[in-house]
Amino acid sequence: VLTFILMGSLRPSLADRAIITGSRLRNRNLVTGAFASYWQNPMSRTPFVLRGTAGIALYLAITLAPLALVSVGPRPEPRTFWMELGVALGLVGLSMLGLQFVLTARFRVVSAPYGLDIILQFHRLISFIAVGLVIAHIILVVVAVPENVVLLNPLEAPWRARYAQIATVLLLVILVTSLFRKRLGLAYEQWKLVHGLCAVGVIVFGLMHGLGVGHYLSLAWKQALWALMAVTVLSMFVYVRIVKPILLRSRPYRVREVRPQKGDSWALELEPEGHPGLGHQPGQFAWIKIGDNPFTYREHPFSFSSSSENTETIEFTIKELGDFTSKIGEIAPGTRAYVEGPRGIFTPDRHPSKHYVFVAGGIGISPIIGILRTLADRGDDGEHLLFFANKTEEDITYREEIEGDLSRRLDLSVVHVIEQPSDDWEGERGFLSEKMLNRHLGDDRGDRQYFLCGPEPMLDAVIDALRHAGVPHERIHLEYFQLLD
Amino acid sequence: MRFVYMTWITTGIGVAIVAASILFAIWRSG
Repeated sequence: VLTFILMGSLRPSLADRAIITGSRLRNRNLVTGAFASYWQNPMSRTPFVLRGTAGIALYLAITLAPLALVSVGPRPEPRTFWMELGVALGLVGLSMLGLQFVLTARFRVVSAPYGLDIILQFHRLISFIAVGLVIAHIILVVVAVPENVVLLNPLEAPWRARYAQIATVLLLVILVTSLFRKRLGLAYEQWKLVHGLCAVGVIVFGLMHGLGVGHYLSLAWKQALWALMAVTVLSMFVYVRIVKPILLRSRPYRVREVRPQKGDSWALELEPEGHPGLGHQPGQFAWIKIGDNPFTYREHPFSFSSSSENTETIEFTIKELGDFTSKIGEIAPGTRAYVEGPRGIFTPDRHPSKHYVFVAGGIGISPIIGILRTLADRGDDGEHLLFFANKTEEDITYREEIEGDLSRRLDLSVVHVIEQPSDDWEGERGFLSEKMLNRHLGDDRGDRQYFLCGPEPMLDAVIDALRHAGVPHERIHLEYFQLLD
Repeated sequence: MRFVYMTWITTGIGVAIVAASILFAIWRSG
């Protein structure tokens, strides 16, 4: 955990500098570009299977560390198998709940090899296992020693058990509010506040329970070590929720313009106020907070759709999908905003190629229009191909710009795929298929880099089709659009 | 598809953790 903290606190500053250097000097100095991409992802040359496996092994090692810790020092009286199993599951469960803070603290070193969407998905899935372990811990402790049933009674139980009761209730609050947020009528930021505060409570009361029981934690140095681990994970919460917002306050943005776009979307243009801006690579995203309060829980990740060569303003293209995004059009120019980023690995700067193929589904065009604008601003002379899938012709966001300005400035071929076209539509119809890909991809398909952004079912189908069409797996880069609403 | 992989990976991690806990319990209770 300490290694995570160290790497997490060092990496962002290095990466920020590298990104700015990388994007500004890219055309002038290839060596700088390579150096920049090395710093953003020092493991970029390691095969992705190895990277993924190393991450999982590290996760398992940290989760199981409490059991290893037990083997050090004097051995307490042995208890029954079921009791020991119950205790082991409790220790490991608490350790997993602590690691949830590491996963969501937005450290680049954690999310970069996988992508933030995958990390959040893992955070959700693994929480079911952690809750299962905690419940199994409670059941086994009572089943192994039936007299322990008194520990479940808040009125008669000793304080060490009451701490456990409080932690369990808070854990169940987290579970229920996460699974049924909409049904409970909780706004996104209310849910996030409840989620964060309850999570802190789970760790604090879980630790107090462990220290109160004492069996395996009776030695002072072990207690100190557990307390240190708890402080470490809680400090990540403080870092994300308090330190980061304070730092953001000195780098405010102002809404310059909100323009309606085709396909129920809005282009939100921001300009930095009194600072040079953050710099980004095309295709990356940032967390956006609208309003004067940098501490707000109302924040959402959006892809940059502006050119990364334009440092005066940044633009995000946002589709009306949820309770926050449907109000984008109501934001008045001049409104204060905060931008935390850049984030993300979906960028051609990490996967340089002479020719690119882009596949966008609906609002998935957002990062891709940013990439195309950047390539045009850099005077790129590669041959690029864009497959753009939409429901109807009217939904094609940025159609005029793609077919007009961008097609003039770039060697860009555009293939529109329309699910429900009008009768006089002459382009591709239905869903993007292997047949369509084969019709438009050339013999050099194995040498290009592929950037896909859209809803998950579409991307899954396109990945299969691309693989069948002979495109190597490692040349396909993805950004799913289903993180949050 | 990546999300399907994640479901399997998460299940694998869960199984590994429970297995390690069972081994731990056998060792400590023995």
